[in-house]
Amino acid sequence: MRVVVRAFARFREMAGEEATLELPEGSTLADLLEEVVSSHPGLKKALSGPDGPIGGRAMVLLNRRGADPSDVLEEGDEVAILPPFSGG
Amino acid sequence: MAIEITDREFSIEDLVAGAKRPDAGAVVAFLGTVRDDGISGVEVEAYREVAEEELARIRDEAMATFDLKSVDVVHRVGSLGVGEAIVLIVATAPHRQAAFRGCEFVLEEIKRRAPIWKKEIRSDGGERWI
Repeated sequence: MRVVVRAFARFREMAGEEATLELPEGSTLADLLEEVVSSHPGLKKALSGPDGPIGGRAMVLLNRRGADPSDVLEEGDEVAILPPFSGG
Repeated sequence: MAIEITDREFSIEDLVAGAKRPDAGAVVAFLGTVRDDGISGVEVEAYREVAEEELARIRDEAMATFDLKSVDVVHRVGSLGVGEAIVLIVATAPHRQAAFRGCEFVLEEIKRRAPIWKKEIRSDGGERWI
């Protein structure tokens, strides 16, 4: 299945604006983030927290909503990785 | 009421004039601008779809929490020079306290919750995400 990964701000500059990843059926958000980190090691620190691949300074959204590392992905899902916000 | 993320300049006067209403004796506008911290400007980026949804949620929360009549938010994206407007919030209420507090609430929640980022462009050409 194919999942779109979007990155913003400093993460966009490190990993590119958008990529489509091919993953085995049943893959979880954690699996996808491991793929992303293996392609872009610079993101590892920001994405990884003490309890796994989510929990660092980055926020990860699945289909524009908050997500859990154990969430199972589906064809056409959109995952976004966001650095801490600085708008306003 | 308007919620907008835009790459175009906006008219503060038009937004304030459009927000005025007979049942609101107070119109509070906050304008955030690019401050000269030894920079030539900023680049503003947003996860636009999510940011617009979040701005609308913040507006709805402000309306439910304070005695407001309206909230408008316009946030720029793109390249902005020193002194240019980044964000405008206009809150109207029957009385000033609600308008001030509602406007401040909206600003603080935008800073905390809206997926928007700024990169400083220094005068020497260096860049830094903030």
